[in-house]
Amino acid sequence: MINKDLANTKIGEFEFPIERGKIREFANAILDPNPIYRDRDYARQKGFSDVLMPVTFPVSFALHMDSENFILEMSEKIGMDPAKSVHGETEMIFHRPVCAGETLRADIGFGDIFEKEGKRGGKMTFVIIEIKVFDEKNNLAVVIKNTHIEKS
Amino acid sequence: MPAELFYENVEDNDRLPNFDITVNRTHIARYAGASGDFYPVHVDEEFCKSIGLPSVFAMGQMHGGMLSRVVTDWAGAGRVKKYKLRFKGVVWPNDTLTFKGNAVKKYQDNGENLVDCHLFVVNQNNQNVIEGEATVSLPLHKE
Repeated sequence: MINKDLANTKIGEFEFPIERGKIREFANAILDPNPIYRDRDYARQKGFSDVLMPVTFPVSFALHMDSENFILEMSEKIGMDPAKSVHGETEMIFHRPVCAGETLRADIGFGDIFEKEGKRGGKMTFVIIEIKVFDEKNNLAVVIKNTHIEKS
Repeated sequence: MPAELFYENVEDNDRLPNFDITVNRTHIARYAGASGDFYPVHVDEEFCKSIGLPSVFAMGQMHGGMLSRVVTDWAGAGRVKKYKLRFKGVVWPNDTLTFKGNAVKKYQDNGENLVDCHLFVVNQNNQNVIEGEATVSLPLHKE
């Protein structure tokens, strides 16, 4: 049973340093050869302070919290069954480009939790996990919303 | 890298660059390490079989990340304002995925020159495993 009382509650906050080596590793993992993720001089020529953070790099922020397996712990905390659950949707809003050398701070929490009838019958429960990422000047840099769906 | 893309040069329905990738377990393992996603359904074959799955499967964020190149090879990295992925199907090892997209609408808003794009990851059975949307902010040629 999914615990709806946890809707719209902050769970924690964490710091996330944007490191050049992690960016290169991530760019390798998504098979993107763009030098903007690897070559600082090239990135500077393009007007950035250092190598650029790849578009979906922020999805890894929460996975580097002090946790063995963050998604599994979040699922357990809210009562989601991993065998019946899927990651339905992810959305990122970028307020500005982020480069290596910055240290970001994030607030993480559950957003809305709601139910819908599935197309083939049965109940689907939607759980939104929202991460707001701030820069060193405390300006919003990125917002990430992940929708997880449990099917009955 | 292609020449810089300017707002004036974009037309509705412009096709974005596309490419194919055949997924293997090493891709999944490498993405697990890079992203920190060690959710057992992606890395632990025995766990998968214990809950009735045939094997590990790729985290949607892996091919969702690969898909970003469709946008950034076209518009330039650092131009993305919004990136949204809907995960529509499971990707198993040995699936061959096509990554593609097209511009949908260009418009100016709040001093920015924006283009909305539709993005797709399609498997070898012609099923959309991801349907995505991106919004990019482009420079003007005359600036």
